[in-house]
Amino acid sequence: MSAATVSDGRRRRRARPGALLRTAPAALLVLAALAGPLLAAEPVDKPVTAPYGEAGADALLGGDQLGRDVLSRLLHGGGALIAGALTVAAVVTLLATLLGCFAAVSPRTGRLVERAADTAILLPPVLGIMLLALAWPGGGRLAITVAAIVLGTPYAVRIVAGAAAPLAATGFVEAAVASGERVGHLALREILPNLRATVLALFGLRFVDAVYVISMAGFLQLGPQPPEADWALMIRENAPGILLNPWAVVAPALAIGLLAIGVNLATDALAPAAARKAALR
Amino acid sequence: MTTTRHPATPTDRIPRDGRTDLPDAPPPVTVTGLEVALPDGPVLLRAGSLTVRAGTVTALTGPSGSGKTTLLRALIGDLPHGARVTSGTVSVLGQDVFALAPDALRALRRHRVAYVGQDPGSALNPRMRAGRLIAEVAVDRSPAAVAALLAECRLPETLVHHRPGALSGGQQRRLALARALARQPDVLLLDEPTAGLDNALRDEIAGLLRRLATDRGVAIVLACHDPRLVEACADAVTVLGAPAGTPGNPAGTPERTVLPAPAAAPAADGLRATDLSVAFTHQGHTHHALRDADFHAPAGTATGIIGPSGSGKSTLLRTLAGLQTPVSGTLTWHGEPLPVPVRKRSRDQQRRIQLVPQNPLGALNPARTIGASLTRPLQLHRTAGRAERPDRVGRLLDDVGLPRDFAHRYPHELSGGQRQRASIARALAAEPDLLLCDEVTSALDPATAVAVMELLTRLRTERRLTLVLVSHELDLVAAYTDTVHRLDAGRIHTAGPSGDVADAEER
Amino acid sequence: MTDTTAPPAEAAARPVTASAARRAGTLAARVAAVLAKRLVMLLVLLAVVFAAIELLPGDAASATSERGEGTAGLAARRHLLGLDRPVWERFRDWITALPTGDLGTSARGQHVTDLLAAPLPNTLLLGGTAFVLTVLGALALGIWAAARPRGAVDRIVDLTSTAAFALPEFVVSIGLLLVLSLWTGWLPAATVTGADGAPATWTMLVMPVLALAVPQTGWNTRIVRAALADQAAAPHVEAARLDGLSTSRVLLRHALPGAWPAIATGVATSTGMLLGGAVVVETLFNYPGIGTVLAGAVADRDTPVIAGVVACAAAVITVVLLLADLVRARTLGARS
Repeated sequence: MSAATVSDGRRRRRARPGALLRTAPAALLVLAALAGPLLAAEPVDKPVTAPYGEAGADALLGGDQLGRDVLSRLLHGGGALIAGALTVAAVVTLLATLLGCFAAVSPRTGRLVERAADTAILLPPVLGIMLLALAWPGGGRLAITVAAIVLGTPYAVRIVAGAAAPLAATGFVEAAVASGERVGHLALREILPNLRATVLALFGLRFVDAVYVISMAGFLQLGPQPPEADWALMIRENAPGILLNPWAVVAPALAIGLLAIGVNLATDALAPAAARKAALR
Repeated sequence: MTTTRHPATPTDRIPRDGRTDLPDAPPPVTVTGLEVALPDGPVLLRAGSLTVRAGTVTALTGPSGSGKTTLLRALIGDLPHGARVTSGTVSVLGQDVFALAPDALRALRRHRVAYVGQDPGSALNPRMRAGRLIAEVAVDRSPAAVAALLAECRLPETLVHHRPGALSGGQQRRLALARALARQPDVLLLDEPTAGLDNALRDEIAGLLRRLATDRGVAIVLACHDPRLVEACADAVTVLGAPAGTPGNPAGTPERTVLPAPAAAPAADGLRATDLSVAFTHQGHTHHALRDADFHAPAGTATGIIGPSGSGKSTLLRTLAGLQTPVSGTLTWHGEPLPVPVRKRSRDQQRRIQLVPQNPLGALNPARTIGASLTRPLQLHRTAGRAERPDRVGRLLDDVGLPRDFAHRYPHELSGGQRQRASIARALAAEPDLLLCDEVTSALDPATAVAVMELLTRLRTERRLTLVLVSHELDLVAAYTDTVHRLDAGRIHTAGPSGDVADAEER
Repeated sequence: MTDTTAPPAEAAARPVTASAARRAGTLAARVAAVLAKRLVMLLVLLAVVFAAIELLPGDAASATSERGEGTAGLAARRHLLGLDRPVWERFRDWITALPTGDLGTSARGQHVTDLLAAPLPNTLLLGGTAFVLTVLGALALGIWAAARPRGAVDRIVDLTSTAAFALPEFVVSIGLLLVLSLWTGWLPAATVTGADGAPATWTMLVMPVLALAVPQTGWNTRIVRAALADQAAAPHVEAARLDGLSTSRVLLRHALPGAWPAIATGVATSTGMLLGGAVVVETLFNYPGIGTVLAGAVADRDTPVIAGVVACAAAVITVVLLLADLVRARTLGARS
C-alpha cells in the first residue's frame, strides 16, 4: 500500500478542483483576524454604550458587559489566538515529524513513543492546562502555548510514526539499511520526504486542536486576563447578558467556530484522503 | 485459446434432471471475445471465449497469468481494481452482467451464480462459525440441511461449531464449497477447487461436482491446473494462452538462453549459513519462520531459493542481508564471520553485500530521482569522488540497459521492468561481490521477467558476482541458477542442481 | 495471478476442548498483561503530574496566604500542609492513600474526597450520558455513510462530521442556548440544582449533554467510517459481497465485527475529551459538577484538589481504555 500512496502524493501535486474554494474561508478569516486591530473603530477598553447595549449605528454589534464596543473587541480578539494556534501547530508538527520518523526506523524510540502517547491520553487537555497554569503563576498566553505543545506532541508523534511505519518496511529503506545507512539518513532523507501529505494533514489538525485548547483556556480565564480582548474570554464574560445583547456572545462564538471549521475543511481539501485518514488515527 | 471436448466425457451428454433446459435453450454462460485490461497497463485477459451448457463441467486451464481468475470473476460482473472490459461480452443466464443494475447483479450472485475463490481461507469470515457461514446463504437454513451439506462436502458434522481458523486448509476449501452449494445455484464457479487436497479427497470432490452437474443440471466452470481433476470430471477443457509481453519493454523479448556459469574454480568459500533459526513472537504465539537452515552460495555462482508464500524464503534472504536477527545459527562470508544485524558489519562487508529488494514500486524512493538514488551509494561507500559521480551514474544506467537521461526521472515515471533495472543499478553502485535478490521478477510480465534475469546473468559474468535469488517461480529460477534450495514451512527440503530440483518438481 | 499453495492438507480439526482451554488461558494472560500495563501508565502519569507541580515555582501555602503574612507564618502553614517534607515522601503518602479513596487534604484543610463526593457523580452522569449518545450516534452515522461509499449521504456525513469535531464544546453550547432556549424557549438556559445537589429535572441535562456529544460524535463518526472502509477491503468482506448478500448484512455481519477494535480505541480516546469538555460546559450552564470545584481550586492554587481530580479522571479513562482493550482481545480471540 505504502508505495502506491507515496507516489500518488507526488502525482497529485495539482490541487483538486474546489480545493481553492474550500481553503478560502479559513484564509480570509485568518487575514481578517490578523488585520482586525487596524480596522477597529473604538479602543478595546473604553465604554461606548450602556452595559449590554443593543446593536445600533454607533456600535454595530452592541456593547458588552461594561458597554465596550463588541465589534472592535471582536476585531482585536482573534490575532493572538490565531498566532498562538499557529505557533503550537508548527512546533508540534515539527517535533512530531522528526520524532515520528526516528520512531519508525528505531524500534526502541518507537516503543517509547507508544508508551508516552498511552500515558498522555490519561490526562484530559483541560486538566493539563489547569495544572500548568497552576504551577506557572502569571504564565499567561505563554504558559498556555507551552501546555498545548506538551499535551499535543505525544499523540502527534504516534500519528507520524504510524504513517512512517509502512515506509520503514519498503524495499528502498530495507536496501538502505542493508547497505549500512545510519538511522539519521534513513529517518530524514529516505522517510521524511515521503510524508509531505501526512505532515500537511497533521498541521491542519494540530491547528484545529490548538484553537480548541487555547480558546478553552481563554474561556476558563487561564490565559489572557481582562481587560484584554479575546474571543473565548468575551464569551465567558458576556454569557450572563446573552438575553440583553446576544451578539456579545454569539459573534465571538461564531468567529471561533468558523475558524475551526474553516481550517478543518481546508485541511480536508488540501491533504490527500489517505494522509488524512492516517492523521486521524 | 482453444476449447477441446474432453475425450472421456462427451459434451453433449444429456442431463437426466427434469429442470434442465430444452436442447435449444441458450447456454447459461456465454463469453465472446472478452478482453480485460488495466488502463495503459498489462492485459489481464486476452480475447477469451467460453460457452458452458447446463449440466456440464468446463475446466479452464492455462499457465499462471493467463487470466483464469479474471475470467471466472468477470462471470459474476467483478473486475480487478481499476481494470476495464476493453472488448467482448459476458452473458450469464441470459443477462449481460456488466449492464445489470446493482440490485439485479446482487440477486444474480445471491441466488443463481456462486463463486468460490482460490484462497477460501481468507474469504471465510474468521469470526463466524461454520454452521452460521452456511446457514447465512442457504435456501434451507435448518440444521439438518446444513448437516447434509457438510456431509455432501465430506466434512465431519461436528465442524458446525468451529470457526474457519480452527480448520485445515483443505477443510476451509470444502466449507467454502458447501457455502456455495447451499444457495443451490444454476452456475457454479470454482477457482482451483482441489488445491492442497490429497488424491482421495480430490476424487471425492470430483465425484461431487460430477453429480451436481449430472443430477441437478448445474453448469460448473472450474479454473484448474490439476490434470487428474480435469480428467475425472470435466466435459470440456478451455485453455487460456499466456498474455504476450507488454509493449514498451526496452529489452524486447529476448530468447531464453542460459549463459554458462563462469568457469572459475571456487577459490573462495562465498556465503555460508549454518543452523539458522528465526522465530517471531506475536501476542504469545511463536511462529518459527526458519528452522535449522543450512545454506551455501559458493563465490561466483547463482543460487536460487524457492518455495510457496510463507515458507520462509524471504526471511532467509533478510537474515542473510542482516535485516533479521536469527535466534540461533551463524553466517560466514569467505570464511570470515558475518555479523547480524547489518550495523555490526564492517563498512567493507556492508558494501560487498547488496540487497535488491522485492516489489518494483517500493524498491526505489518515490521522493527522489533515479540519479539521486544511484548517487547515494557512491557517496556512502566512497566508490566515486564527487566530480565523477554524474558520469558513474550514467555508466551504471548504461550497464543495466537504461537511457542515461533516466537519472532525472522519478520512479513513478518508469515501467515495472525499468524500475527493477534501476534498483539493480543502485545495488551495483556499491561495487558489490554478492547480490541478494528478493522476488525481482514478481509483478513483471513473463517477457520482462526473462529480460531482467538475462541482465542479472550478464552482470554476474561481467562483474564476477555471486547471486542469491529468491522467487516463487521455479521454472524461471531453475533456468538461471546453478543450485536451487526449496523451502517449505521454514525448512530447506531439497537442495541440489537446478535442473534436478526442477525435474523433481515436475513429477 | 499467482497460485496459492494451501497448507499440506487434511490435518484433522483440533479438538475443540483443548483449543478452547488454551484460548481461555491466553486470553486471561493477555488481559492480565494489559491490566498491568495500564496500571503502570496510570502510576507514571500521576508521578509526572506530581513532579511537575513540585518542580515549578509557587505552592499552595503562598497562594492561599493572606496579604501581609510574614515569612514565619508562611513557614508554619507550609509545615501544616506538609510542604516541608521531601517530594518523594509526600508522593508516596499520596499515592498509597489513593486506593483507599483518600485523595488528600486541600489547601483549606478539607478532605478532597469530601469536596468531590457530591459534584463528581453529577459530572460522571453528564459525561456518561454524552458518551452513550456519542457511541450510538457515531455508529449510526458511520454505518449509514458506509452503506453507499461516495454517495450523497457519505459526503454529507463526511462534511458535517469534519465540521463538528473541530468545534469547542462551549461554542456548541452557545449555539444550542440560542436555538433551544432563547429562540424557542423549549429548555431552561441554566441548571437549577435540587435539594440533593443534583440537577432538578432531566431537561437540564439535555443541552450540556448535546454540547459534549456533538463534537465527539463528529470525531467518532469519522473513525467508524474509516474502520468500515478498511474492513470493506478485507477478502472475506469482498467474498460476502460477491456472494450477493445484502449491503446491510455485509456491513453489519461481515465488516463491523472486524472494525470493533479500531472503533473501541477511537471511542476510548473520546473519554478524556468528554471529561475535559464537561468542566467547561458545566461552567457555562451552571451545572453542579466538578467544574465549579476546579475553578475555585485553580484560583486558590489548590494543588491537592487538582491532583485529586486528575487522579479520578485518569482512573476513569484507564477503566474505559481497559474495556477497549478487552473488546480488542475478544475480537482477535474470536478468530481461532
